[in-house]
Amino acid sequence: MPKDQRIYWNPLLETLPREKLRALQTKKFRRILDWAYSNSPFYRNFYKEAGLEPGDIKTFEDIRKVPKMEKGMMREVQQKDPFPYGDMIAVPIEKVTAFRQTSGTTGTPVYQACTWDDWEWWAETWCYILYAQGYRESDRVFLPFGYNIFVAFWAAHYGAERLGCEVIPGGALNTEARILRMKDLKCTAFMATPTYILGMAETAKNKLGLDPARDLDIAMITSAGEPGGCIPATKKRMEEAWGAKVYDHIGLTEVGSWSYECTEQPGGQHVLEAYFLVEIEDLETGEIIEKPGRNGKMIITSFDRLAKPSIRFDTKDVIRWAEYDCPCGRTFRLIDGGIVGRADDITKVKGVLLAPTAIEAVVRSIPELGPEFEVIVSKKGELDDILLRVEIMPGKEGEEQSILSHLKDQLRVRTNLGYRVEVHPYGSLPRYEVKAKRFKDIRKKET
Amino acid sequence: MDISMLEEMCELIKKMRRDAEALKAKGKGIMAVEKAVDRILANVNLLEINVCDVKEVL
Repeated sequence: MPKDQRIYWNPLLETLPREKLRALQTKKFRRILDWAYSNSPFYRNFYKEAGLEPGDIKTFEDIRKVPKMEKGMMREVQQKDPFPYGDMIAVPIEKVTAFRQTSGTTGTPVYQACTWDDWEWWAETWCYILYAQGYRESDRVFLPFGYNIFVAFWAAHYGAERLGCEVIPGGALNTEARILRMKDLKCTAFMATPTYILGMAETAKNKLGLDPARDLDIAMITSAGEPGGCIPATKKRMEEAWGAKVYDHIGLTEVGSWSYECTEQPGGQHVLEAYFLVEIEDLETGEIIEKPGRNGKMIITSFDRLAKPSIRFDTKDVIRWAEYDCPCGRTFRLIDGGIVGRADDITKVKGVLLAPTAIEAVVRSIPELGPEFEVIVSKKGELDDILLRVEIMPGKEGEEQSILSHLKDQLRVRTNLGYRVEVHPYGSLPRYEVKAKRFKDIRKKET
Repeated sequence: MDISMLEEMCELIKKMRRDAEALKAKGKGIMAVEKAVDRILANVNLLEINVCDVKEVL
């Protein structure tokens, strides 16, 4: 049966003219603000202290008057009743039907409450993402995911089901078993972190003697959870390893599934603007950036999430609006190249601003290097030291000197910094399933 | 899409909400009814987000 060729999950919203979309966003912002003020003691007090009432927000520009909230506030509020979420929640506790938490990468995990309405909403947002990436009812989708306490691919699972795909939960299987099930069941798509997508390809080749590009039927992969899907060199590796198209998705446990690549892949990711408001704030002046091409910090609002609203959440993620449109016809704006970095990740080393994603882009662009690497920033006396650990692909060991020379040159060009490089045996650096921790800055611990 | 078609869809969605809420009220105390209606209403909510919200800005 030929695959459904329609483009949009919901043309009513996805092709809404920009001025109408802005009117919709204003209306929805006012609605969620009113909801939070009326039902969440935290938000009511937060806004009262700022001298703000929902009626003060009349225009799109007025939204900037609303104070931003941060993750630290979410953590603090968890000490209060009702247990375990605190008074940020805006529904009676007995209406909560699902608990999830953030991974805790940047500190104490933040707990997330969902009602059934919220959970259907999560799944619906994933339908917009997956449909835009080419998933259709005829697809058989594998989820090589631990089905644990993190929201991660739970919502993707429900979204794919809602869309009508056949979904296979690959939870309590090891990597080899997952690959074999994907092969035996002729799965056409799967979703995972970039690290695990590359790790699975490696396992297929080295432990099972399979070439995923030749021996499996995967046509589409959705990558999420790490910036790799926005980094062209990493994406190229994934696509070559699997012989499939790789589409990026960006989401936040505290907010929702807010951004995605469509099949046109113009170089950026659409913001699901009918469901979320993304604002970009200048890192130094705090001014809201409307023009494309300028980096700033993302402030995001989730319009329809009711149990635990996220209103003007300061994500610390650095993004920029794209200078180009997408030929797909969606009127949702694009961010250029995904998450460029994190405001609290971009760190000064040897007096130069360094984004860990820049190192990943270089390492992954050199095919003779293995997929894993590790960066350790430390102090040698008074000076900063950057140690980069890499692996060389099997069969390429004889070319080590020229590979390392090329690597150091590229790092200097892309990051303006010099590195000590250590070569480790292939397969010896840590392999991760979720949220890889490759960048370690131990300078603070040493002082 | 034709605006009148959109209006008709919105009327049907409103009716679905009214009917579902009436059923919940009628079945009050029967958990099997109340919870099934809650799930229906969660999807009515999505129809309102996906369809009725659009009508209001056109």
